Amino acid sequence: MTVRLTGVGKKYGRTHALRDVDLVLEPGVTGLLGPNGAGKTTLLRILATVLPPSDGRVRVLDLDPADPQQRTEVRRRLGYLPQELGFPSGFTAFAFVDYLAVLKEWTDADARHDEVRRVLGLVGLADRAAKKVKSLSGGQRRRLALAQALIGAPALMLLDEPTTGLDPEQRASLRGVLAEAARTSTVLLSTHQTEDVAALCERVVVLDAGRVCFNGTVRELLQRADGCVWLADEPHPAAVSSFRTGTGRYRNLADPAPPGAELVEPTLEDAYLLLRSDAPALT
Amino acid sequence: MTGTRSDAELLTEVSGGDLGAMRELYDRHAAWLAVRLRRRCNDPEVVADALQDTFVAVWGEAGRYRGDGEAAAWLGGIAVRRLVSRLRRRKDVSFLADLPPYDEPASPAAEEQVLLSVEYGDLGAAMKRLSPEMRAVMQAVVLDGLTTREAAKVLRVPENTVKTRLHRAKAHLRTQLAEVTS
Amino acid sequence: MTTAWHVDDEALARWVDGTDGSVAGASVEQHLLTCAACRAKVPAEPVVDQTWARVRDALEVPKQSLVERLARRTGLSAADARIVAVSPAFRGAWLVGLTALLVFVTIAGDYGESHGQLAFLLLAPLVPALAVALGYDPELDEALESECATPYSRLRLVLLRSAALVVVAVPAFVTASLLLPGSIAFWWLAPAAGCTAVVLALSTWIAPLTATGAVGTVWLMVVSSVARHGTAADVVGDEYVLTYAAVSVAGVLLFLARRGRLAWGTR
Repeated sequence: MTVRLTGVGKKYGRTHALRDVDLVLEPGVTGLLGPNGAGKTTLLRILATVLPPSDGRVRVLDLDPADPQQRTEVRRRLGYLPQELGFPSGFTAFAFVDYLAVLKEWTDADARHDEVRRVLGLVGLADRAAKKVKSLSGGQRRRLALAQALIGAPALMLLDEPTTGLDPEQRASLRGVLAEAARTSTVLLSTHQTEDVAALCERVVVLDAGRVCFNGTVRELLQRADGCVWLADEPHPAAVSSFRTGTGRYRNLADPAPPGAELVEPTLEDAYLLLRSDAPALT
Repeated sequence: MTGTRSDAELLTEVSGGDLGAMRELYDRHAAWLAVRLRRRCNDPEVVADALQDTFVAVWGEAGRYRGDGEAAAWLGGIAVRRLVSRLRRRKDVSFLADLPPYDEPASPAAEEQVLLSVEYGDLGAAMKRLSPEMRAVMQAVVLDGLTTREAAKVLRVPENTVKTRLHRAKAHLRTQLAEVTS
Repeated sequence: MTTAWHVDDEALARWVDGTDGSVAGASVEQHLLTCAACRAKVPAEPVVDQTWARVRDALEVPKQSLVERLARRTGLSAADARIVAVSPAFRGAWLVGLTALLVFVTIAGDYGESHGQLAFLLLAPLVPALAVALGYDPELDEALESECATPYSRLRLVLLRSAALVVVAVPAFVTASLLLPGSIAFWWLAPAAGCTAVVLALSTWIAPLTATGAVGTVWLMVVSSVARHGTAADVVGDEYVLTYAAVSVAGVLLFLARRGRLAWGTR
């Protein structure tokens, strides 16, 4: 067990960003899904020890982040990709990662430079190392931000939307990197892309309005949509989603399907949408 | 995509800050440039430094490569100049140190028309009759393409001396070759 | 350019060994300049492989900045020196701003003693406070969120950057204060310490730059009210200096007591 949250909450004034979250994370990749404002970023920031929780108990890597010394120890074994990460102006890609490696206590210059090269290579930026950050494309900057989270192969990696702004090829290669990292680490991957979760994750947590509304395996989430997706000649009025496919027939998602409907295999997105439709509407 | 890029294309990529293209360029050219440098300087340390300087200079100057003429010649010129600049800091090592005796016939090619127009055996013989000082000037200016000023610095003689020696060497060669070909 | 003629292997080997003469060698070299096929046949010596690592380092490993080198000179560790150098305020704007302030004070001084002192006392005591705020304000420190999740002590980061900026700023203003007519000399450092301590303390609740804005507003009100009842120089008179000392001590104690808030990172 890498992470255990018990009754964790976070309040901003009277707003609850997180409420009564119980969660256990094990090695491997866990996906974190949820609409904007559901509390994904708040949860990641609490685990990254940059935000103290208002309530509840947090254990990370068997340590208590509320204690200053243990918090530092957690940070030694942590890789964190914030949702928005800026870059100090004038830095090259190499200089940026090198700077974070300095903060992560890589004091030996040669070893540090080798590590910087390694992580830049992992995200496919080895050839761009000497470029100024401002001359990199959006996708390259996102990968650069990810590179700093990979320094030192941390035991816990918290990644807030690492695939945003990447094209399909870059996403595919990034999945390779994350899958490799997950062999030895615990990875929590916050994302809007159900495909990423389907491709990478064993487990998935869905947040809604600060609460955990699903916590289980990807297979379990998929099973919820079993028998709920079918093809028909007409759109279904009560469907969660209904769209005309390339073949001219409508793909309907509704629980349950009418008897005798031509059922098709649900995707994780179907299951997620179905789950969301059960949740109370956001105000 | 890779592997078929020309030197000029690589240099364009390099000027944009691409280390992969730089590596490719290095793999293509470092080996022969290292030999070129070693033939002009017998100190391995200075050769290594000059080789490093060459590619660091290429990184900074790649944008200035015009794309006319051979990229290899452009690189070769940078290499010799970097070596010259290194040698200025190392007074104990000299340019063109320990030139081997040359009694072997050469293959056809050389910089100047007058040299190209003759049989290589005769050129070798003609060069052989030059004094070592004149040979050094010929090599630095005619073959390595240094300016007389740069040659003066590496050979540690006044620039006027270089000009005089060069003038005399060319006249000497011309006479000798004229004798042979007529 | 392709040539039908190529250097034969033996001639090339002699060129590589350096056992041919300079004429034969020059001829081989001349050919190599135009022939990729023959160049590719030149074997790579050990120096070629060894040198690549040095070339790559020279191209991609960033050179130490001037600030970083100076910080190293003062005995800071490599990591600490880098932290100081990356401080957002060392990107020119801070130095330009300082110079502008000094020019302003000097011009005001030309309009007479009281104007010079008023301008100086309005601005100078806020400079160290501003320096501290610039050192770690989240608005200016783009990578703050990542910095906070590293084992490097955030308190240390704040103090190092603050100290570095103050070290740059204060000597310039001390010199200016000595050049100004009148007798404010070093006394302005007392309210400067007070303002800085309050900004540090407030930054455990609100962003450092916001805190500086608040402190600055209060300070401007204090100075202008004092100046209205006498001269601006009264604000560094004996009866006030004790207050500044008390405020400084209280501010620092409060900051230290609440440093845990900083240690968590951004809010």
